[in-house]
Amino acid sequence: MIKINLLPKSINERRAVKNTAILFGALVVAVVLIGVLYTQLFLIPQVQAEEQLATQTEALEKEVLKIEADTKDVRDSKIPPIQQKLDFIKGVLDYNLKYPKLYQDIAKWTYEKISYMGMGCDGTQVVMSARAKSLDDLGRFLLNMYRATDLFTEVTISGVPGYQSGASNSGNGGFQAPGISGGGGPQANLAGIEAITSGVQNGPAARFIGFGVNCKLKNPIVAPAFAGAQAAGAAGTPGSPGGQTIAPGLSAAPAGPGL
Amino acid sequence: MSLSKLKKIHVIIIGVVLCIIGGVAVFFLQVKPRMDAFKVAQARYDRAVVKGNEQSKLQAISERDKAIVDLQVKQAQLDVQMRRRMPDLNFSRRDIGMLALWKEQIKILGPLLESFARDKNVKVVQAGFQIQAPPATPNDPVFDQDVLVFPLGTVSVSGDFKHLMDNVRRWNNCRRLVMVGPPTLVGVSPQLAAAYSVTCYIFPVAKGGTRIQMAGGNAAPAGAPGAPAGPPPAPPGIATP
Repeated sequence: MIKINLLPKSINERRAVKNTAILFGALVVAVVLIGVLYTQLFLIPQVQAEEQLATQTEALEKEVLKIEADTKDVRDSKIPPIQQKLDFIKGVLDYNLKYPKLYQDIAKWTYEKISYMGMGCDGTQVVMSARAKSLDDLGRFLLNMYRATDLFTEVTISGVPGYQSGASNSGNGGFQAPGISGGGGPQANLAGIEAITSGVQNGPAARFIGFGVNCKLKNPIVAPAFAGAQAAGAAGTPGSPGGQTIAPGLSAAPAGPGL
Repeated sequence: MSLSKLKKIHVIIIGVVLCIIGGVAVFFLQVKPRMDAFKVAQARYDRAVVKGNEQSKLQAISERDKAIVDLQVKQAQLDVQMRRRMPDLNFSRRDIGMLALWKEQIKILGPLLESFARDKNVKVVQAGFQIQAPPATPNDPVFDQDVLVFPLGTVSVSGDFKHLMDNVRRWNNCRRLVMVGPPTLVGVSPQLAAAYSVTCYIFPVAKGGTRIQMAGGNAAPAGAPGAPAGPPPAPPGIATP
């Protein structure tokens, strides 16, 4: 038996269109629903978790920053004033030891037959007045001083006598020192500490060559200064110490008899 | 146009377009704001996590503890020096501090240093210290200084070289912080003469506190510079050197 569909084609077409429309309607709803569900069930908790984590981390960071600020405050505000005072105290105590050490070092480098008559220092240079019995002693002394490179960068000497006609020739090669003086009595002699304390010779009356020595220190001695110290001269206030000066009686010129 | 004339292909096209519109709308209205919020939160986290972590916190705490210990050590060192070399001058109460400074400056410091200057190993030729008169008003700026400086004068001693050098070093043992200027040596051994300047430094325990209201309209408000005044009158019984 043959089945013959005599219904118009448009009847099936309408049903197909309707079904397709329902399908796409469901699809649109599904897309929207999936999107909303994805947002609500996955994205929002994730965002909330991330925000919570960020908030906690920021709180932790704030805490760390506060601790660091405290540390910085201690290091930058509380320690420096104390450190400044400690450094100054230590600087003063060290400074008080530097000149004795310098003078003793100079004594170690000094030729034993040289007699010092005065010594002073202004922190950058040492000025000494001394005397020697002969040019040989003077030369040895000078060579020694040149070798004291741990102490000095420059050594200059003044007052070495020139030739003067008719001068005494006894033992001194015919020169006449400008600062000649008698050598009676004990003499200052910094040729080593032992020599200073015990090696002083009561030399015979002889003629001496007086000379001056000026040495530039390799490591200048600087007096410590405190930042808040008041300058001298303010009425009613304690002042600050004056600058370093070499004693007026000392100069690089040959020592006179008065020294 | 009647809907009855829509064909399947039309419905498919419309359906696809609606799906796309729906998807895009959901993306822009729901997903994207959340993704942006997530990115912002992640950026905040990334920025904060550099220091906002437990390790950094532990390290910061360790550094702070170290700094505090450092401070305590230095404070202890300073306290030792203060006890050993400084008088107890506290200017937080200016009036009481001023009286304490008077006592220190007039009655204690000079005799203490002169007594200390007497060294049995050398002959003290000159050790007459001069200390200027102390301030006579509690609002004097001297009370705001970190350090009080007293140039005391020159000490002259004679003796042999070793004892003279020991005499200079000896000032480090004084009950006050004393700086010895460059010594000058003259003379002939064993009787050399050394002369050096002496300066005393005193750190107050505390600097000047609130300024004191003074009679005669000369008062200055707290923290303000003191009113200018003439030379302060010498306190009774205090002689200006």
